[in-house]
Amino acid sequence: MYQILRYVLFQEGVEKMSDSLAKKTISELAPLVREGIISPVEITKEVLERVKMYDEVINSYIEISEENALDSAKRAEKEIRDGNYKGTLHGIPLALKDILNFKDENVTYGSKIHKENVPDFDATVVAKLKEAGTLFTGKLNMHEYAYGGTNNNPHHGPCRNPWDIEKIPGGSSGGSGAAVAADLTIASLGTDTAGSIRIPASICGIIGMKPTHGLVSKYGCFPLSWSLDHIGPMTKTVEDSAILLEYIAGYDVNDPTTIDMPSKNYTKYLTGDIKGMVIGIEEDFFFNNIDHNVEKLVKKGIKQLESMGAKVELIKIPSLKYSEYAEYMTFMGESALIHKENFKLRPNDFGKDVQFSLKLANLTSAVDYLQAQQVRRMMAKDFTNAFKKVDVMISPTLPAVAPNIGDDTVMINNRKQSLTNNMIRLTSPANLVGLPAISIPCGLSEGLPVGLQIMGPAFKEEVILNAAYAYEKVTPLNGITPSIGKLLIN
Amino acid sequence: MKGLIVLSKNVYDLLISQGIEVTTEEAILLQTQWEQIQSLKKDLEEVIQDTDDIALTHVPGRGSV
Repeated sequence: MYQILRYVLFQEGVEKMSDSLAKKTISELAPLVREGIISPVEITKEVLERVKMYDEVINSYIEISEENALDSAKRAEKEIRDGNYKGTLHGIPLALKDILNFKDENVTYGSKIHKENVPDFDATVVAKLKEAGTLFTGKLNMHEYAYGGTNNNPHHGPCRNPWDIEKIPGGSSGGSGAAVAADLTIASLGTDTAGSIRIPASICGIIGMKPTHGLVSKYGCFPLSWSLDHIGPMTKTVEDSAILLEYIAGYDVNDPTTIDMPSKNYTKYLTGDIKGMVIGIEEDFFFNNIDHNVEKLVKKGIKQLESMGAKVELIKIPSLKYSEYAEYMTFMGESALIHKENFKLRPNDFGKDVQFSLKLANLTSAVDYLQAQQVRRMMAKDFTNAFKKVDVMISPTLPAVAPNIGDDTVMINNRKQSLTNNMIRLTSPANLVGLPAISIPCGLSEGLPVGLQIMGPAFKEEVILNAAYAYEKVTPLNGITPSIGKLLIN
Repeated sequence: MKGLIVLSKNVYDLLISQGIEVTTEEAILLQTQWEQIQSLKKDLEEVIQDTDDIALTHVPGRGSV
């Protein structure tokens, strides 16, 4: 029946038969599932087929849950046929970063130490998605314990960038970035402590959003650094990010950092109307030491937003110059404690890079850590003042495009520079002050995606989503996806 | 280099005292990295008061305070 209906839609020009369902978005699939035109089983099969075809090389999955996914898809199909449609995510297959607890399932956190870990409860975001009728095709690769930005994982193998398989996909949510970009999942969730959603989103040419700290519960997510950690959507479109955020946001009694406030229907704010919106540009920090091509693409993006009615205002945030120090001291101090016991008992079970980072982290003193918190407060005041003058701030997400797998440096304007420092330099301020930020593709440089970052005031996700939605209509990357089939043949 | 080796002895002793294994070669690399991170402080000591509060909260509608 489904094939006949699809054929009819093809005849009417509604859908191309040649398009794999795996290439579609949540907002495209949901009405077809609701109307019974496409079955969740069909979508799930097509996603899994594509995973089998490409993931041996991309390595975005740590675990593929074929049987569970198909069983859940059949259940969803029956529920919908029986008139019990639950909403937009019902019957949509997703795959999430392997850092979120799934009850009675193996969750590794990308590590060797937790390779046999079977949590006895769902992470709150997982529980919310299950309640919405989502089904899961598997768990996605990540940097070990989210402790790095390359996703060069010694225990599960490196994840590869679908735009160029010799390049990193970014991290730590690299599996999510690569899987969404390569259509190996319809959408995903990642986690972000210094940019780990936005970095792979930028490098893989997708949308990645870090909400305000306290909007989405972190309960059941293995921590890297409590006060900096966030969970957020990684999707093919801005609308899909808004949809996922609607489902995962909200107060949670199990996470004391969540804020009890009325829920928002983020998709309703996606008008694309940005007339009068004031864009703040902080040149001294966010446009310092940026690859010329990246800077050109981001500034072109800002011009396009201006042509749609936005205004630009130059701003200054002096405390940003201490942000890298504050980020290092905060996540080193917090992560040293999180891994304290395992690092004493079985240090060699951590990958070499994480071992080195944890040794460095153990040098952090209480005074270092507390001074970093003083900087955060200073930055929070500066950002709050800045957002009295502007609606959003725009910057590059990263200062350069993706480096090769295994490199510990990145080329910026023909100069080799530290990869780690440059990876988190532009994204970590939003973690330190907890403000929402989204990365959206703004073009290609050297054939690789470049991301434009939009930051906003606390709990104003709808503002940055709408700015990104407006930009999505004119971005030069709209509709362009990596040709992974061609890459694999070459 | 001599100064770095002397300082890295502090790194070595600090980690060993916490029960963390480290080689002298590694201590030198860690010392170098640590100094790079410390250099990111810039003039922080001059602009920040030791008694400044560390509280960081988000008030919906009012932003971060």
